[in-house]
Formats: sequence, structure tokens, C-alpha cells
Amino acid sequence: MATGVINFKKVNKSFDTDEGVNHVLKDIDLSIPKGKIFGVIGYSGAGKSTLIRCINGLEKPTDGTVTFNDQIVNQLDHKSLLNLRGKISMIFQQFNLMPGRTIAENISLPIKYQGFSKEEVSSKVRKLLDLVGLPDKYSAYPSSLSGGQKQRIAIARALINDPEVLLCDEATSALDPETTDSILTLLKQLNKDYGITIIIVTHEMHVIESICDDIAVLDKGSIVEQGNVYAVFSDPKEELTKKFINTTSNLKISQELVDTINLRPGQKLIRLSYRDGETVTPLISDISRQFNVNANIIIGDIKLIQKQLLGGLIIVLDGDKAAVDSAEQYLQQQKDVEVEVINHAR
Amino acid sequence: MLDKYFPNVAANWQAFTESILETIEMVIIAGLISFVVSLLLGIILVVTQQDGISPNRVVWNIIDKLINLFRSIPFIILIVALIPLTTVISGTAIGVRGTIFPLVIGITPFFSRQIESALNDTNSGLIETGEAIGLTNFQIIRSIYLHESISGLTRMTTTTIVSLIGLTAIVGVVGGGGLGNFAIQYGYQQNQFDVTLACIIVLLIIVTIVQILGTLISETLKH
Ligand SMILES: Nc1ncnc2c1ncn2[C@@H]1O[C@H](COP(=O)(O)OP(=O)(O)O)[C@@H](O)[C@H]1O
Ligand SMILES: [Mg+2]
Repeated sequence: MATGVINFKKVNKSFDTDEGVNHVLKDIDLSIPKGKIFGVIGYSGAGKSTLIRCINGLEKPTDGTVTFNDQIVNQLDHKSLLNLRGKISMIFQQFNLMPGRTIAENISLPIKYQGFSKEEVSSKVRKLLDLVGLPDKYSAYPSSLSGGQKQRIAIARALINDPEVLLCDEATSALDPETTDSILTLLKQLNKDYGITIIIVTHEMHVIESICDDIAVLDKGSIVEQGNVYAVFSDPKEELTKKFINTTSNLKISQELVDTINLRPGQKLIRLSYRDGETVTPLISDISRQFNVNANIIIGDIKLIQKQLLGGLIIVLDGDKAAVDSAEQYLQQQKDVEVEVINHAR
Repeated sequence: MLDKYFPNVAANWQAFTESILETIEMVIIAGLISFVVSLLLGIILVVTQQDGISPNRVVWNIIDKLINLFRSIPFIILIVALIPLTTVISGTAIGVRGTIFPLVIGITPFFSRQIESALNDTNSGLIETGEAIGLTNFQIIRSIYLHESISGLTRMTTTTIVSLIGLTAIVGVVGGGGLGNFAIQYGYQQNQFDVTLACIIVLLIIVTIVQILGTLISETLKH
């Protein structure tokens, strides 16, 4: 089990509050593989921030252990913990740049007291500014930057110690979709070029499907499902996981929409969900040819998850009643396709 | 003009200018000492509070309660109560030298609260970031708490200096010197109203200068 760069073993965390004990993390077992992008998804209040903060010791588990390589994070003394935070850095939803410092001072704050010469610091900062694509912001103040630029600077700051692990707590949740994608691209690039292990906690499914290799679904403090993103997406077991997947899929059509599609006698409205990386078209042409039916595609939703196709179609099968029935049966027999008849004409 | 509208001030011109200088001297010395003490107390309060970077219930409670205690004593009573201690510390309880100790004790509780509040205005996310990037508590105090609240600290210091000017006038009543003393001696006891008026005008000018300077500095420190 303990094979990852970061491992959680039976981690529990409770907070004592005025209203009583709040049990925020429950028996968390997690293994985060080195060099991967690991996503944790859950609703607000699920305990995502608490979980990620256990990794760099900002939060201490009530019991259980969190390990980084062979160190037990929750048993480190304060000094070792400060050292650890050079190797595990973090970015935040609100960027948290120091408004009273220039961009260069912000980026170099983590190494301000490490005895580097002015020239060394300045050259490190310039390299990082190039890396995050903002070379001309050296002397600017944070207030003059956009949200996406601020997060880029926060990423540069997080990289100045050459960390092994980067923790991202809702790092894109305050950004618009386009900026989100540009930050995700940057994170992916860091992961690929420098082998940095990235851990992302988010409530946005889009983030998970864009860049994560592995995923854990956190529900009220418990991990209800985890595994390779494609495996989890193509065959979700838990209700909550399905809900999250549906947030970015338009295959889940509303009853209203179903009602507006007038089916003629013999027609069937069918949802096909693909479960392996095969392409979609042959199936449709297959049934048209074999059974002499028409398959009208109403909605198509196919995305690329880890370079594999995932998604499906909503089609109207049209033709002779017997032909439509056998075409449906044929579809049902396909191993890698889930078939659901949404509606059929009376 | 002075002879016409402020005859009694003109008659005691030297004592008047001396009392202005005394007031300024009291404000500067008591202010500086109190600034150092209050900054220390304010920092300790913020660091040791429940969600501070190094919570310590006992230390926080002691300082918090002491400040509340001293704040609840009216200043004029505090001066009188402190006279024995003042004599031991300053060698005298009268004159400018005798006023510094009670002034410091009188203003520090207020000043500490002002500094505490300025420091607490620092966005908690920034403090958390300081911890996450591996800064020690001392470095967080220096590079984040103090650095990011410098504009707020300037504003709070300005407010405190204005209050302190008020206290120096009260101290004057019990033989401390300065404009308060001058106003009581001539304006009140000898019923020379022009003296009282002149003291008010000078105090008003000093307060205005302090406030303008404070705002100016605070604004230039903002980013
Ligand atoms: N320092 C704390 N003291 C008390 N309760 C806390 C603290 N931090 C988090 N919580 C509680 O833990 C729960 C999970 O919070 P959090 O980890 O921030 O969730 P998420 O990041 O998934 O929104 C919430 O109910 C929150 O109120
Ligand atoms: Mg959170």
C-alpha cells in the first residue's frame, strides 16, 4: 500500500468546536504516486482543504499517519516541518500574494532568509518569471495583475525551492474558464517537464478531467471512490461520482428536453455511453447497414480523458418496428457500450 | 496683534513657548517608549491568540486582562495612583520628567489595542502562506504581519498620538508642565481667557499637523 510519495494511513481529523466535535476526515487511506497529477474532488465542506493541509503539516491529524517519502509528517518537530515545506509547496484559491511586495519580492519570499546573494535570487526569479510567461512583471505590484497572472506568480513562488510536490487548493476556482485552462496547461507542463507530483483538490470536474491521472472522491470526510481517472469516469460506482461526472456531460438530458423530442411510432430515443477508448462511428454505421434503420444523432458528447475517448451519444432510432428492436438488441450486446432507452413512441 | 488679542499670552511669552516645547517633548518621549512596548504587546497578543501562529492561552489572557484593567481606570486617577511608583522610577513626580511614566502607562493599553487591531487586519491567507512557504514565526511577524500592516500601523499610531496629546494636557493639571499646565495656571486660576484660547489653538495646530503627516505617510505606504 505505502508505495506513493505521499501516503495517508487511517487518517482521522476532528475539530473541537462550540457545537461539539466536528469529525472532518474519516479513516482516509490514500497513496499518491510519484510524478502523477492526483485529484481530490468533493463538495464544499467535504474536508478537501483539511486533507491537503495535512500533507504539509498545516493541519495535524487527530490520529493516523501522513508520510512523505519516509518521513512521518505529523510527527516532525517544527524545524523539520519548515524544511519539509521547502519540498512540498502550495498554491491557493485566493493566490495569497503579499500586496506590499513587488512580484520579485513575492516570488523570492520563501528563500529570503536562506542566505542567497542578491544576484542569485534575482536570476532565480527571472528564470521563474520566464517559465510562467510573465518576464516583464519583475518590479510590478500584485494589485496591477489579473487573477490568472497572480496565480502564475504564486506558482513561480511555489517553485523557487525546487519542490518535489505541489499542492493546489482550489487553485483555479477563482478564475474564469479560459484562464483556468491556461493555468491547468501550465501545471501539466510542470508535471511533465520537471516530474513534480501535483495534488489538486477541487469541486470542479473540469479540472479533474483535464489534467488528473488519478482521482479520489471525497464525500463528507470519507473517500468513497478512487482510482485511475479513466477507470473511475467510465465506470463510476458511487452516486456522488456520477453526479460529478454529469456536471460536465450533456448526455444527462432533462425530462423537458425529452418531452420536446416528438417520437413517431417505431422510434426510440436511446443513450449510448462508451466505456473504452474505441471510436464511435462504426457502431452507428453498423446498425444502419445491418438492420436498415436510421440513427439520428441528437447529442454527442465525447471527450478525451488521458488520451482515451469517453462519452456517448443520444440518438433516435428510426425505422421498421422489428428492425428498431433488433438494432437495440444488437447495441445491448456490445460489451463496451451502455445502452439506455430514454423514451419510445407509444 | 498678539498684544491686542492675547495680552496675557504676550506678557508670558517665554513661559508659553516653553510649555509648547514641553508638550512636544512629552509626546515624543512617551510616544516612543509606548510605541516599543505597545508593538511588543500587540505582537504577543496576535501571535498567542487562539488562531494565532503560536497560540498560548495563559500569556494571551494575562496581557488581555491587564490591558482591560488599565484601560478602565480614568487617567487622572491613574496619575495620582502612580505617584509613588513614578517617584521611584523617575526620581520625581512633577515636571516633564515626572509625566513620562504615567503617560506611558496611560497610553500603552490603548496603543497596544490599536496595534493589535492593525496586525489582525492582515489577511489570514497571507499568514497561512507564510507558514506554507516554510517561514519561522519570527520571520512571519517581520515579513508579513509588520510588513503588510505598515500602513495600518501608521494610521493607528497617528490616532494614538492625538490621544496622547490629550493626555499630556491632563498631566499638566497635576503639575506636569506643558500646555495643559500653562492653561490651568494662567487661563483657569488667573481667569485669563485669552490664554486658554491660545492653548486650544496651538493644540489644534499640533493635532492637525500630526493627522496630515500620518495620513500622508500611511497613503504613500499603501500599494
Ligand atoms: N480550523 C478549523 N476549526 C474548526 N472547524 C474547521 C476548521 N477547518 C475546517 N473546519 C471544518 O471542517 C469542515 C471541512 O472544511 P474544509 O476542509 O475547508 O472543506 P472543503 O475544503 O472541502 O470545503 C468544515 O465543516 C469546516 O467548518
Ligand atoms: Mg476548501
